[in-house]
Amino acid sequence: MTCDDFQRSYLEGETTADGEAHLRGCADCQRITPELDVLRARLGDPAVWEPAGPELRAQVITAVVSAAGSSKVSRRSRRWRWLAGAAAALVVAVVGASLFLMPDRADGADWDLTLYANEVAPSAVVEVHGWNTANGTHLRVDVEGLAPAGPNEYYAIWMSSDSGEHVPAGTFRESGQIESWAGVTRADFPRVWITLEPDDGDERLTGETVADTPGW
Amino acid sequence: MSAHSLVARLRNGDPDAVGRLYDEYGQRMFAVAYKALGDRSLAEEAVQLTFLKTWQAAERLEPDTEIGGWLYTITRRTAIDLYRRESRHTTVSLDAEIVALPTTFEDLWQVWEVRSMIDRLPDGERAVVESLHYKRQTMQETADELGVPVGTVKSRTHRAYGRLANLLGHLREESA
Repeated sequence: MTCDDFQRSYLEGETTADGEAHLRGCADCQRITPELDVLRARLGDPAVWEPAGPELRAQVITAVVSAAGSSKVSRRSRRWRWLAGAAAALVVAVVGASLFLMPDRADGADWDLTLYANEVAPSAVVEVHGWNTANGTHLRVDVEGLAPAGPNEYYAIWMSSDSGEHVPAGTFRESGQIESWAGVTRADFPRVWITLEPDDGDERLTGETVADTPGW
Repeated sequence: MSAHSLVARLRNGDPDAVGRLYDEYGQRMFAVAYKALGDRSLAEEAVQLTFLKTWQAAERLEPDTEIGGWLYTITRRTAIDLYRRESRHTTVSLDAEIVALPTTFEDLWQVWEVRSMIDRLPDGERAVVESLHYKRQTMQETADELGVPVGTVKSRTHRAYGRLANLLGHLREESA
């Protein structure tokens, strides 16, 4: 009996004297049998077989095409903001500088917020745009100048209330535009902040703050 | 089309690459999200968000990014985010446990790998494995459902198991 024969019959659930003899003398098959057990068990897992809806592919492509369009708008918006800031700087330097600090109010966000970065990430620029929804808050977080998280860590976004309740509002690993959600409103959870968390399977808030809402 | 050329097309902002990626990885992404969330609608939302995040991060992808591993990781993270969102009524203090997924990372990785292997089976072989393992039908019931003789079901099953064992061996070599 070959290894292929043994492994195939093992997956089929067949137990023969030949198979048992092969297994006793074959280190490769001894090593792979636990994985064959996992494979056989997973073949009965409904999650493996549940089909995605037939419309999902089209929805994904529509969402991406839409995002591609809005990112062009966003880039134009940033360019105009920069030009407006530069022009203003020629007239009144102080006013011009303040324009650069204003969040980009693209796409009709209900509120915008610029987080201040602390000494952990002094060059980071974090702008948060929020949309109030029936289920909470849709967040778009634009992050620049933040070093990529290490292989065993990630950045976490939080919304917190005045009384110190903290609600997770998304994770990311590197600078860029992050779309996320929180099941609470900014009215009740006014603090938006970012921490660097260890990626150890422990979901508690244990990391250090890298950017926070002014005044917190 | 190779994974590397798909990454290159993504980096160039080609939306068609997303459709190709979906065809290659969409079902296994859905499987991971469904395992994590236990809800079809949420799992589909996770897949959609994962593709959006991938698109938005495309410019920063390295040309040699292993896109399958990337998609798995982002799908898992997105599912965690959605799980937390759905658990929003459980707010926590700094020293309290935050809601964790009911499934382990190992569960999710196994689902990803096994679904990857299933995706590589020919349609006829995949159908018999699905019937026997998922639908828990007999050989005869499988034959009746697929409209083929029982002997064909047996031979397809035999070939499918051989192929799955072979794929498992390759996966072990790749990860060694």
